[in-house]
Amino acid sequence: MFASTAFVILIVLTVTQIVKLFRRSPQSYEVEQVFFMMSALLLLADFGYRSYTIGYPAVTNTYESLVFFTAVICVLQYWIARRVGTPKAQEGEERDWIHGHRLILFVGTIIGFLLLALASSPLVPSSVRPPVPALQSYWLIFHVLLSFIGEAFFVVGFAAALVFLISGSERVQLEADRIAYTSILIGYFLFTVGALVFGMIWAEQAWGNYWSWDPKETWALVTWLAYTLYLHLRIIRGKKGKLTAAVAIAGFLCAMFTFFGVNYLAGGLHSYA
Amino acid sequence: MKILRALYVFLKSVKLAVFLIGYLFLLAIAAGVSGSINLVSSSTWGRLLLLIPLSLFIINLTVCSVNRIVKLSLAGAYVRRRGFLRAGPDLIHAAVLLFILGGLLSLYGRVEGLAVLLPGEEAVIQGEYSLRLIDFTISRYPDGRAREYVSEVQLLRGGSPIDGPHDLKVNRPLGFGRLKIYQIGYEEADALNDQRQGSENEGRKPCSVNASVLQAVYDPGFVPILWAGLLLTLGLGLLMVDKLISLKRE
Repeated sequence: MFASTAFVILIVLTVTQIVKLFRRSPQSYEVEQVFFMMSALLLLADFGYRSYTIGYPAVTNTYESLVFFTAVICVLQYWIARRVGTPKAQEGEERDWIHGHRLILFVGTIIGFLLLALASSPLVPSSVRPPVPALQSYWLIFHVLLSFIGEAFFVVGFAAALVFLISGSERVQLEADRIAYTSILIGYFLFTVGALVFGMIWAEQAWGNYWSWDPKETWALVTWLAYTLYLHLRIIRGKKGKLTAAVAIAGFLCAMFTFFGVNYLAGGLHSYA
Repeated sequence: MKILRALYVFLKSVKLAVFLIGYLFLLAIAAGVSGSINLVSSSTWGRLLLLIPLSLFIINLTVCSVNRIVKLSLAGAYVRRRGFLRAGPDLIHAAVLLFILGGLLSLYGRVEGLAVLLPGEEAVIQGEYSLRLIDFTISRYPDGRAREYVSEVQLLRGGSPIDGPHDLKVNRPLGFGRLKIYQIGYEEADALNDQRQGSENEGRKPCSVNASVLQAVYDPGFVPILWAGLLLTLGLGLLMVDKLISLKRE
């Protein structure tokens, strides 16, 4: 029920943002802030309820992972909506700058909406089931939760990189690059520590092997290499590199394939969904 | 001398690092798509396509890191206010090298063995040391899925118990010296009976209980990996804080 209500709110948010994007007039984003926070709280309530029921953090299958992932995205979207704030009626570049933020916000909302749409679909079973023995570990918190929090920052980085590529305004590009770099920097730290470092430690404890070229592990490495490439490219190409932005987008696509593609196209040790 | 200088400049360049990271990224995609690292490691050409760039990457990373540390040390960058934050990339690069070292140690030094045991059966670990499965219990959820499976094991030397019994569960391996014993899974009795059909098992009574699947592992690479993980976490933390402070100042 919590997740369904959050899904309805995201539908309303998506439609509202489409209307505001086309109007391009100075608008307050206080309503969006409230709705994002409501969605986040509802989804976190769903996560909390399931966690209490099964006795472990509720990220043991695809549905629960989608709910938690979307919750964190909504929290970050709330933060971006606060940055957009109450725009003053400005002409020219200032309005472009605000429009750039709106686009970043919109892309993030679309992604959150799509994730919850998938969670609500028949493709993803939503029954509450306690975890299998392999998932009964406190590493579930460190490995899975941190990975998703890191990937939520990658969502913001993806949205900002996309806006960088499509925008013709240098002011918008600078700000989009700044948001992309900041969010990818934080996401990279959380993803590396959560997905790779803690993942390896847990794998060794559960399976006796910290790295077995399992599809999920391999594609997590691909994602990590993509963002490593992004960070190094930014050193040599600076803030105006379209190639850098393209690599950030590729990194996000790899992250999404690691999450979805591997679950549905490949088996392996991570097949718990 | 000019050639050496040019080679040094080439080996420490960030552009070379970017090229090699990009190359390894594409190679990892190939491994991911094929479903196995064997795509690149099973043939001579495949091994060359992996080993030459990987070796170049190790050299580039080492030369670049040493160059950076020397340059920053001579400039006094580490001893200025918040100078310790500049050490982030150095720790990260050291961690990556340690990861590669750990991986190589595991590749050439790892020893493992798998045993499917019924209660009362033993598996030889090494020499006169063996592991006996005293009992194996499975508890289930109402829907039939396994909730927990526990092996009660005992370490024997020359047939006499020297340690245990201990409970062995998933995610809770037991350590015996340099070895670790893992509860990997279990085999249902029916599946085990199907597997054991054959002349060598003629006259053997069919199993009516489930068997425990245990794995013994010695991996010399894991300790360097642990240290690498710690260095990487610390280095990334310092880098992130340093960059966020710089961004805020802009």
